[in-house]
Amino acid sequence: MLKLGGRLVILMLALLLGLLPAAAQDNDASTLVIGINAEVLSLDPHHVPGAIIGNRVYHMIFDSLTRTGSDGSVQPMLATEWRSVSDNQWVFTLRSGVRFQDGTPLTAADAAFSLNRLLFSENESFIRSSFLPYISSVEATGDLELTITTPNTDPLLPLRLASPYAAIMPQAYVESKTFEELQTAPIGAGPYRVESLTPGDRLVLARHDDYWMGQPAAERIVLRVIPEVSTRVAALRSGEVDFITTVSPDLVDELDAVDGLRVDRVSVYNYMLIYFNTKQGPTANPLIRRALALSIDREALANDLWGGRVRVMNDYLLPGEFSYDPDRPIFPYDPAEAQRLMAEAGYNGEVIEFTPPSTYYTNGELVTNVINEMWRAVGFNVDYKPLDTAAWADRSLAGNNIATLQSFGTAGDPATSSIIQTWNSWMGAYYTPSDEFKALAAEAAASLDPDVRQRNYRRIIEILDADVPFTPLYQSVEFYAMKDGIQWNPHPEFYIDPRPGALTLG
Amino acid sequence: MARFILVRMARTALTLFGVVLLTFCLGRLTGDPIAMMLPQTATMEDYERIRASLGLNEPLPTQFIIYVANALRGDLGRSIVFNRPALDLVAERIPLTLQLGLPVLIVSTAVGIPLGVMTARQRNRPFDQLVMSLTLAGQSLPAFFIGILLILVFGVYLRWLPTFGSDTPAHLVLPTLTLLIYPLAIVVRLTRSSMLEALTTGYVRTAQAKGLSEHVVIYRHALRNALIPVVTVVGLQVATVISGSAIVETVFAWPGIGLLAVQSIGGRDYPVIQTIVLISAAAFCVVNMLVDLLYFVIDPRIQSPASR
Repeated sequence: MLKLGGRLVILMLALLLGLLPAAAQDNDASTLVIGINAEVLSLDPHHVPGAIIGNRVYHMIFDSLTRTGSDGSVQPMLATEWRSVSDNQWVFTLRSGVRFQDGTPLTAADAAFSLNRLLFSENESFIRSSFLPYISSVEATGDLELTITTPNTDPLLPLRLASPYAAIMPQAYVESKTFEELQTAPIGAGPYRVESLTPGDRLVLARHDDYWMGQPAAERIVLRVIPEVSTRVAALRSGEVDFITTVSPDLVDELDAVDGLRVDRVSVYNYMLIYFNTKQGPTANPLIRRALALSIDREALANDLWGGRVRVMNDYLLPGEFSYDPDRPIFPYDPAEAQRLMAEAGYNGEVIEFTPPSTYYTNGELVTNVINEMWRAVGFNVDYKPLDTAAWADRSLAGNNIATLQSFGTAGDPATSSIIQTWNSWMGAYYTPSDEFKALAAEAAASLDPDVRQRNYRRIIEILDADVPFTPLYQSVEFYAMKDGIQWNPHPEFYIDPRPGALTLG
Repeated sequence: MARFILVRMARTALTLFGVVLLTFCLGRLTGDPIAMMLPQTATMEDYERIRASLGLNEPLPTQFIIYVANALRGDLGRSIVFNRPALDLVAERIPLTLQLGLPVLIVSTAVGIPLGVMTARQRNRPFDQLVMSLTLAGQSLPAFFIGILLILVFGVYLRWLPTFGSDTPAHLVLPTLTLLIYPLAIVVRLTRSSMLEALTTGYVRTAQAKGLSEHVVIYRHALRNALIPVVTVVGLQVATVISGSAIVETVFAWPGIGLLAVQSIGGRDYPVIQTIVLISAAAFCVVNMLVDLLYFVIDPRIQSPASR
């Protein structure tokens, strides 16, 4: 029986091994293998959820009309210039000679088709709400001329279109495929075309030889999905991948010490904050909100939990953003003043529910645990309940948080960033900006005069200081680790930019 | 026998219905995929519109009836996060999970049962004690820990084997080993205790007294009787093989059903979760039925209901 069993094992194993595909050619010198932390859900940028993983991938396959540079400025991509022709119309001139990955030339009709697909296609889109309030119609008004009509005067439209989700695709190709087919095999005008997608495993991208910017360095880019961070680090150390994303802060020192490897820290256009419910619970009292904000020692969070690798916030905006104030001191830590405010508010041990997401943000549980202790130390009766991501999202949307952890995306101009836009969204359940705030924001968003905009934004920040609907903590960072020879331009929007000049394999 | 199978199939259908109902309700009670995927700029109107487009604003019973009606026609819905049919997503990952699970099943049975017999025969001798300590360790060490340890030793330091992925036969070694340890330990320990019991029974002593060779006594008389609980446990393992091992697949970035399940539960991707649970449950029911049929073959004293 043993003998028979043994033979059977060998036979079955041999059969199974025969079924396995041959090894993929991942490791030649002109291929860049990147270990990413999550699966690319869909390759259709017009319809997917607004996840970071989309930012990583879409801009490799697609170009948009414009993009945000690493200094926050708007840069030309498929559009070479743009001008405002009336109060509510913009005309974009497209780059001539651009070819899509299927060899067809880019026309204004393709661009109009793509933006209309993003805004109005019959398939529901998660990302649409970021664009729909700002665009009424998109029309091709010439072979390479695109006219976009906005509901209001909007000097920031070129910045709003600098998004990987506003990707331009060839109309003929898209119309020849079903919606399902486009989720895995789209075509764009970006530096790499989709060669193959193995769900959950890898996305193989091949160089677009006719790319308008010139030839990118890597012949192939292979994105490998490795969800577990320890495995991602092991794969880099063993040489199976060249580059990994999302290294956890506690592994940075260990990896940096390895010969031939390097860790790069990238501060992103995003910061962490605690927001409060200004409409119910003890936090409806602004004195309590101010006291909670004052009892957080942000430098201790940055130094002790992040090894000093994050920038403590000093403003509601980020460096590089229009009207950011570099001279503002960091948000103060003053427990004595906090206790004085608590007494003034007549705080008497009312329970403050603190319901952050436990795993959604890097270090989130650690950071909120310490904030909980800081609040308790000044005498707040905190009910600390970290939640599973789905439960937290449900509770947030229902307007039931009293205090929670959240991040805000912010780049370019405050008008397009969360500190102003977010109160029109579901977050309006937590704070209603005053009429003055709204008037200032509306005037700034429609004004072409930088002085007016600067003055209005700084006044809005004074209002935020007084109202404390939320309090910033530190700027978010992303750690990447790679082989020493690789040179790249880190981008604050989670991009790994493979375009010519931006990345070399070494 | 035919009647037995028919009755079991009816019961299986009932079980599957219960499983579907439970998964359907539990998923919807614990969170909302739309809330998680909305960008920060989205308004409550966007939220309601997307929910409506996915049919999530209907009353729960209506949603359930629509789901069951579609499922009976073979349409298990479209993934909310992948925008693709849920059945396609699950089907393309089944072969990978089987590649990992079948070797584990074969080795744990083919090695585990003989090893269990050997330890039972050498009870309390050094070999038995060694195997028992090893299997105890195998049963108590978490797969996550074993997996990372194997990756570090064989992938990073020795560089003999790849650390992740599913490309070549070499990629199979570490995850299979990690997945194998627990079931192997269970089969060995169960076979051993079952054999120890069988070896003290009257029929074994009779067989020994008749002067039958030791080999015949052990394998024809004792083992055959000792196999019943082992077959049950191996049967349960067949079902785990089909549903995949979430932890091992996550650690080794093995894109099978387990990894998809973890991701879909995290994202509350209801159609995919329901499809995975439905397929796992169906496999579980079928295997259980086969195990019950196997009892009759192993032990004729267990009466088939048909012959009653």
